[in-house]
Amino acid sequence: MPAQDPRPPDPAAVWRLSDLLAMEHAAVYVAAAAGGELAALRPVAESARVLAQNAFTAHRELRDRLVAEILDRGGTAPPAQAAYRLPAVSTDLAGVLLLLADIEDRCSAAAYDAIGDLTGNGRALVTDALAGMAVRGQQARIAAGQPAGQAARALPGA
Amino acid sequence: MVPGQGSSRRVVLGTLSLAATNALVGCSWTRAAREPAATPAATADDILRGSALESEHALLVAYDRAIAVYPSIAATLRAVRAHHAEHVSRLVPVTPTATVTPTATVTPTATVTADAVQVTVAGLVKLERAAATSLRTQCLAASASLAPLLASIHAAETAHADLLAPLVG
Repeated sequence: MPAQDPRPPDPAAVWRLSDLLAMEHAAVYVAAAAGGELAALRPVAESARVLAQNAFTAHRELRDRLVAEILDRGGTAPPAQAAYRLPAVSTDLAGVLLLLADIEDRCSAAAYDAIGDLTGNGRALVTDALAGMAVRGQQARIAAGQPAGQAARALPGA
Repeated sequence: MVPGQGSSRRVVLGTLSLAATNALVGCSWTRAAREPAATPAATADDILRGSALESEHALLVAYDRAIAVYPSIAATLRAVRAHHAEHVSRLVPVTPTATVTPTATVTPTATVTADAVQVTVAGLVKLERAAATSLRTQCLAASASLAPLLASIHAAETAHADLLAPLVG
């Protein structure tokens, strides 16, 4: 039985998905790095470690699904870099939490930019991912001590 | 929808309407020409925007009521309400007369119990989740230009529910 034809080429969607995937590679790295920093701050950082673990799991899953979406469209998924320069090196609890929030904001912007060029399951995937990023970023800011008005975003990714 | 296509169609319709009016001047059955010109049919995006706006207005009213009655959690509720006001401003087409911000007139009650606060916040969480669900569906049906905004508001409502849920207990 012949293999099912891949989707027709969709350069705009592949380009946006690749941008988001590149950000997801960075997010997986940052979440892992944050988890490592928080491990040294136990026991006060236990709840923060849960946030880092949740971020790591969510971004790793999204990364894998984005790779599949890109390959399914006949594109080439960009690989991860060996390492990433972190936006700020802060080893205290609040600093690490804000680092987690920052990567969620950056991923949200890439997701927002991708949604218009996607349809169907691809758009649904990224729309759901954007909501998850908004929630995790907000949780990290609240855990860092920010008030609700500062922690919540009116328009995540926009 | 192709950007600009809708407005081009409106221009064409307006031109045709004007031409028809001129042609009918002097006829005995020109009354219809003095009636307001028919508005162009709403696009699919117009309907989606309208639905999202309706939901945002309902949320604004609900938050206004809660803020008036429960000052102990008003700071958090005001922050969320400001987001909904911003959603309305982004959803409304650019017409100065279209910005409407409903404000509920509610007199604070004398006794506010913790249970009452929790029931009210639980209602707000339910509203936020329902709005988020609707917005997700609308986002998937929207044009490329509208979908990112609806997705972002969907994300905001999801985060609002997560923000308020701990207040329910």
